[in-house]
Amino acid sequence: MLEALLNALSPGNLVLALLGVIAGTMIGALPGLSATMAVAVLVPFTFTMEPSSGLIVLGAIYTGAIYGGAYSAILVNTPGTPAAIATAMDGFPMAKRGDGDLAVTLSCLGSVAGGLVGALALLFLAPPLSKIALAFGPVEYFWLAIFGLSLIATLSRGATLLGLIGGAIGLILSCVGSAVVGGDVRYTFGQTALLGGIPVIPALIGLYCVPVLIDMVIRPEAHLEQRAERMAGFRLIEALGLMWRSKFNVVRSALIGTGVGIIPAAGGSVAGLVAYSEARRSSRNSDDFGKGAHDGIIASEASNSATVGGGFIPTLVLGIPGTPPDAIILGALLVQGIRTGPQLFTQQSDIVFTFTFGLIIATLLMLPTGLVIGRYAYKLIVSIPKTALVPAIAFLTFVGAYAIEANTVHVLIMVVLGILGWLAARVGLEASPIVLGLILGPIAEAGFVQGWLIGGAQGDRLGMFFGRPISLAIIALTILTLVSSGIFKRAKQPKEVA
Amino acid sequence: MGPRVKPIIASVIGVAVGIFALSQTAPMSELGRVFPTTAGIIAIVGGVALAALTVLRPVPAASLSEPSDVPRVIATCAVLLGWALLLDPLGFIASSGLSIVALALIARREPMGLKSIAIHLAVGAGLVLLFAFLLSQVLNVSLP
Repeated sequence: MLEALLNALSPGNLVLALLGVIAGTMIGALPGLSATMAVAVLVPFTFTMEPSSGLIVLGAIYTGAIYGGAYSAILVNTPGTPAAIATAMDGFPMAKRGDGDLAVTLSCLGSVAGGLVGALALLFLAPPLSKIALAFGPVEYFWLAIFGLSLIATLSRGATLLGLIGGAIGLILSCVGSAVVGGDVRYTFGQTALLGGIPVIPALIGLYCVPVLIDMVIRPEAHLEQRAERMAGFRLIEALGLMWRSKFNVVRSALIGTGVGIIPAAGGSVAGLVAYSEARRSSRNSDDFGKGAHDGIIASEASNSATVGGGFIPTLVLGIPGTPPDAIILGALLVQGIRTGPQLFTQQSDIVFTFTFGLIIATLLMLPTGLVIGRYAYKLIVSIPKTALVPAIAFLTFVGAYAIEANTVHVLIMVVLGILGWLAARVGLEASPIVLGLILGPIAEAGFVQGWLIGGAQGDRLGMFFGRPISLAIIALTILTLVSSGIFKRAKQPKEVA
Repeated sequence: MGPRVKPIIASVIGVAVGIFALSQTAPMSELGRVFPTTAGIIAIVGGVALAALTVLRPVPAASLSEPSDVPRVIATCAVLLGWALLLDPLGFIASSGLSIVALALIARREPMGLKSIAIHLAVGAGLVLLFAFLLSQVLNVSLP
């Protein structure tokens, strides 16, 4: 291990890790240019490197890109990556009231803390934790998605019925195109462009960003409040104090992120939402969530960054990628002649441990990098006049929606959903429940249909859905989340009235 | 809008979307219609419950009115839609250039000097050309 640590600390690898973090952060900050794209675009450059150096670069890019999504989430209310959806919920309100710099610093510290927990889990607990990934079958995915959908009750901030309607609309949108199992063509109106379904990233950009654009145009005041006395520093001490006060939230969110990261296909968006929901449920100031709560940003960023290390666990131990960037990195591993599997930790441990230490170093490098980039991003957004900011953001949304599949139909879908999303928000139908339904719908449907078919073949559908330990644990967690949020509401109402 | 109008509109949207979703399930297979049907029913039930609660509960206090500027909203939506539709016929650079200028004009609230206009145009053109180069040359994304 010591040799691997020294290798990771070599000047060449340090420079590569730094460049990877910077490149990843900047790509992740642009709405639509996701962590997957950042890794995919830059992976060919690593083929000529030493295997461990190439992996360090890819890990650093991935880490940086997941964090970079927080900038646009905080400063323009548009998650740069789906993993930053929950960050926008409190980050943007903070920025609106003039605390954008603090929000950016908190997101950086939360990301570093979460990233370290995920990487340490990869370093010390990879083989035993990977067994969790193998225990997840279709039914567990179904219940996990249902658990995710139950978070609508938390996200809808007291307007549960509006959240329910929004979630249902998201689920219906997720049904557009060919069914995930069976191939039924649904709600396409004969348009071949819709056969592939509603693309998630353009939909995400549209639902979050276009309403912000329209609001920026109709509101005469500045996009973000500018407080001259707060533009001088990072507010690092203040942020560290808030992090210390929120230490249990940090640890819990990082563990949630690591756990969700281990589950293939769950990803940073699910982790961020689950951690956000748990942070709100357990907070004494749960009413502040959605209005600029520090704990909301910390929970979201700590958890989504922890998914990076967590996702590498099944990727390296089992050869099952946890997220799309993991799949690309898995491909890079194969190109480098590295065979994943349990034997990787014994036969090629030097590469694995060098990579893991590289990931830890990249996470630590994210602190100065993220603070500096974040500070200038904040200053830039605050100082740009609307006549430049509105067209610039609109242009970046178009680039983001188009670049994923080089498809102009996706841009049209983005704009139409964005305009509808703005209209829906005017009557109380917020974007988050709709996005949650859109993201989790396919996971829930595939899990349900596969579980139904397998249960039918085994002659025990009830046992398939309600007889497996992990399923039961998730069901219990779902019920607990729903019930406890209701109990808290009832407990607080009399105090408020009094 | 009165305090009850918004939730009533939201409930109408929920019921309408739910009915539409259910009306399209007839040609689907048994398993293929499970989720659309479930989601449709949730939307309808949610909409009806919201409408009932809105009508039955005491009239809530009127919330602060949101700013509204209908001509700017319509113009912004028109530019965004036009931009998306003109990407193919006009190409990435031309459609983006025109739309960026149009959006800057819509967002403008105070008169701009010649110097300011020149800076805006230069930055806009630089941004479009930079991303056109980045997408086409570095990322190998074919541009319309």
